[in-house]
Amino acid sequence: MLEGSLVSDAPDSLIEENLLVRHREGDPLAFRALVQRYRAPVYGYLIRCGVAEADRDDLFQEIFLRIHRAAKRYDAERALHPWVFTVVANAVRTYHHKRKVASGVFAEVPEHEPRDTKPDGEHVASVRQSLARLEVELGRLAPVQREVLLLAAVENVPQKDIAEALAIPLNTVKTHLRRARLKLIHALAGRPRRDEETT
Amino acid sequence: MRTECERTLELLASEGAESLEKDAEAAAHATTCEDCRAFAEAAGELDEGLAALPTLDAPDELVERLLARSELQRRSRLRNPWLLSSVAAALLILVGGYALYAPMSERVSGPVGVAGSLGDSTSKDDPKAEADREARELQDRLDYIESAKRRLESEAQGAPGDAYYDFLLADVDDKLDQQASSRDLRSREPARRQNEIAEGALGKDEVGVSSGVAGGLPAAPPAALLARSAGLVPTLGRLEFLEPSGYWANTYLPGDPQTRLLAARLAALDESARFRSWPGDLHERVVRVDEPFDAPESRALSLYFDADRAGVSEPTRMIVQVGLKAADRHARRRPSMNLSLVFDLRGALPLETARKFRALALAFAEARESGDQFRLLAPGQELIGPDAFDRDRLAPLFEGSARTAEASLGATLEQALRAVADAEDAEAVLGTSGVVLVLAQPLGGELAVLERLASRSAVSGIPLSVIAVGGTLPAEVERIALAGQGSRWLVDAPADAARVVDAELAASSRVVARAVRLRIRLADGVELVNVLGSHRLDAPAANQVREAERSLDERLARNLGIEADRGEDEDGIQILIPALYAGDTHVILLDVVVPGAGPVGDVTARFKDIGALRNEVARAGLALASGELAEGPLQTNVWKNLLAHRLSEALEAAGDRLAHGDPATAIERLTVEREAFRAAAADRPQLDDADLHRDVAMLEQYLTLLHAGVASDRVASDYLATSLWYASRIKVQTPLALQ
Repeated sequence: MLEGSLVSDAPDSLIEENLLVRHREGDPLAFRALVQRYRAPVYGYLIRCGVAEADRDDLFQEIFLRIHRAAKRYDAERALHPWVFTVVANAVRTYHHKRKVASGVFAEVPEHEPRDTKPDGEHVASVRQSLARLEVELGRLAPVQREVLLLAAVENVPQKDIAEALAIPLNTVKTHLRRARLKLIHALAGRPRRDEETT
Repeated sequence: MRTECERTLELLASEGAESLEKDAEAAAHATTCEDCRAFAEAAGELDEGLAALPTLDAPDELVERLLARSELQRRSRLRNPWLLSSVAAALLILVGGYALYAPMSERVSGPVGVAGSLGDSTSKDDPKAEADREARELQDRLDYIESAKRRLESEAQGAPGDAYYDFLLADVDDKLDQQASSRDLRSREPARRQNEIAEGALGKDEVGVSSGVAGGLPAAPPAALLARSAGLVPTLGRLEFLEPSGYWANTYLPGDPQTRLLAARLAALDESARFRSWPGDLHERVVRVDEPFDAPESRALSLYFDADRAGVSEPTRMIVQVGLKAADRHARRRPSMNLSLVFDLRGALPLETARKFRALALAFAEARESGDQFRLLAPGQELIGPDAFDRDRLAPLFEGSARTAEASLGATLEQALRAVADAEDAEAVLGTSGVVLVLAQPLGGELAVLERLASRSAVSGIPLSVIAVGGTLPAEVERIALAGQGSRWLVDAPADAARVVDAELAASSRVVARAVRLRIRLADGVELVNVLGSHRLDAPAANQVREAERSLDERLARNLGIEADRGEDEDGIQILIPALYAGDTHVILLDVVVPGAGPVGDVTARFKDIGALRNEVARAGLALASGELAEGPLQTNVWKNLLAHRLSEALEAAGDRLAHGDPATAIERLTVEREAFRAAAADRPQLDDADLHRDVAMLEQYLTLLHAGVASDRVASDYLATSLWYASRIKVQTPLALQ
């Protein structure tokens, strides 16, 4: 087992920023602590963004190694949390882009198994209150809506940082977020979605 | 104009359920409107759900691997940019320089690389000038390393307590001491040094190799002999590193006509009975390494990644090994086959050859089952179609001496491919359609055409196997079978036909994994010296492999429903094995230099599991502990495979020299190998076992015969050469290849 977190009682944000700076300055334990802090959020993000199981471990390592290498370019004035998720979001986007290209060029089989988007009334009734249902509905969102929602609502990345990370206007972030939530609300309420929401 | 429902919904979507608390109008609406109340509840549920999504944590072992890789990356970063080019490089130079400049007494006892990378340091033209030049170079290197050390010390001050700096500095100090000692010693013994140079150092007389003198084998050859070319401990030296990426040649092929050909030659030569009176059993004594890999229980293959040692404490050259073990499943009943047989019956075939062709054709007829579609083609014509493929119709074709026209074999092969493709059931299992090319004579200029066709055939999902009739074309057989992703067989006598046909037809039901893509990725800082027995493919060959893989991928997706997942190159060394057979093992050895303890790399095998009908990935990682640790069975297994590889090469080389009428060099090669094996047993007790003793005894038998002068007789020399070649192949072949 890995050793536990090395963080103390100091506020999280301060500790995190210190971690990357300490790592940059050569503290051999700082990066380990950083990985411990972000291993679950990053791994969960990869799963929820549809990174295939066969590729997940490689991408997970690649993300942290990028952070490892990019530490010297980290602007200590910038909050660490959104900076980390900028790296994560971009790595996931690149991954999906490559998969899409490969799938378009090399295979007739769709990249992911098409999912049944028609709600099964009985099933919905039984799992409506459950998180499992929410996970399912998250998986049905358009990729960009899903990533914006996960970053904003799960990882608590500020919307302006999401806009910067994904290189899209702030208002577009808001639109994606609104649409994602709307879809999920409809789904959880058991109501059919309107056409305008199928972006 | 928006309705109140729409406004409420927008509010809930944009700001969540809590927004109703701030908007009384919307809240009031939600209490009266059933839909909006449901939406508000769903919004609340969403907010709570998002906040309570379960943690999906990364596995501990993944995090451990990541941290290990990052640590090595950190070390590399510490060494870069200047450290990489000075200290690390300097360490290499120092060790290489040490071997070059050390006095003889030190040089002969020091180890050298497996690849024999120790260069000959002497210049024969002007010994004194050469010695002066070397002295200047040595001093320059010392200055350079001193300078690097000062910079290292400076950087180390910024990282107090960092063990890595301590390690580097200690190592540099050691090397500097050695280098300085070497310089001092040289300065004290200039006369001897110059004499050595003038005499060419390490001459044959000095190493004690006798040339073909009966009974003249030295009981204990001088250490110099071992040091020069038989050192088993890989070291740093003058190394050129290869890029550990791109596509590399697959070395796993089922079936081996060359071995069967050699066995047949030995049997034929043995009929004279003169060799039976020779002492010893020569090639009969050879045994292959018993790989200790456990067969997988729940999937088609298991993967192993090991090194020849468990830990290191400094930059080290070493052998790492990738091992594959296929599931040991029972063969299923074979499916119906759609086959085109192409017999090269051109020209006036000797009667014996014609009999072999006949035996093959009849064996296919005997093996035909309900549902099979076999057809027989020869250059210029289709001799027998699927409806008439039976013994009664086939047998007359091979009576008498009249044979087919001198048509192009390539055109006939194309015709055969078209026939298979036309008759193919698109839903049939991969491997149930194929072409079998049967050859009896050298192909000359047609070889390239046939290779291209074979590759095209494989890409379109129709593997092409080759059967050699007689024994003059194994190299051509191998090239075509490789391109066609098929098997290769030899029919040296009519009696072989049934066995070969059964094996060829059973091949598709013995496959447990297809499209096995090995990706070997070395960790940062680990350098590749060589992939033993393989080579990096050039661009056209790599493209051929890509296309073949894509074809397999699509075909298996279409026919077996295994999702297509290929098409993208990966980083690292990539090797594609088209099909892996039940119960088989395969080993790939890599010669590498590691910077020290830590990760060496990882291996991934992506494959199509034919039993489970799904994509599978096997992974294995390798990291070295710090310090010298006791070797376990897996490390010993790597050494055994390395010894087997070396022995195989030595036997083949000795056979080659004998065939060229050069028994003296054959003796030297075998002597070196025998002493290397003895040294290995002395150095590593765990290698000192019955298998090694058998190998040494076999080498001694060959040497005894050679020293007795038997090679002066042409037939005896042929027999010995064939025996050496045969033993060479048996030593390293996979079990399936020997069937």
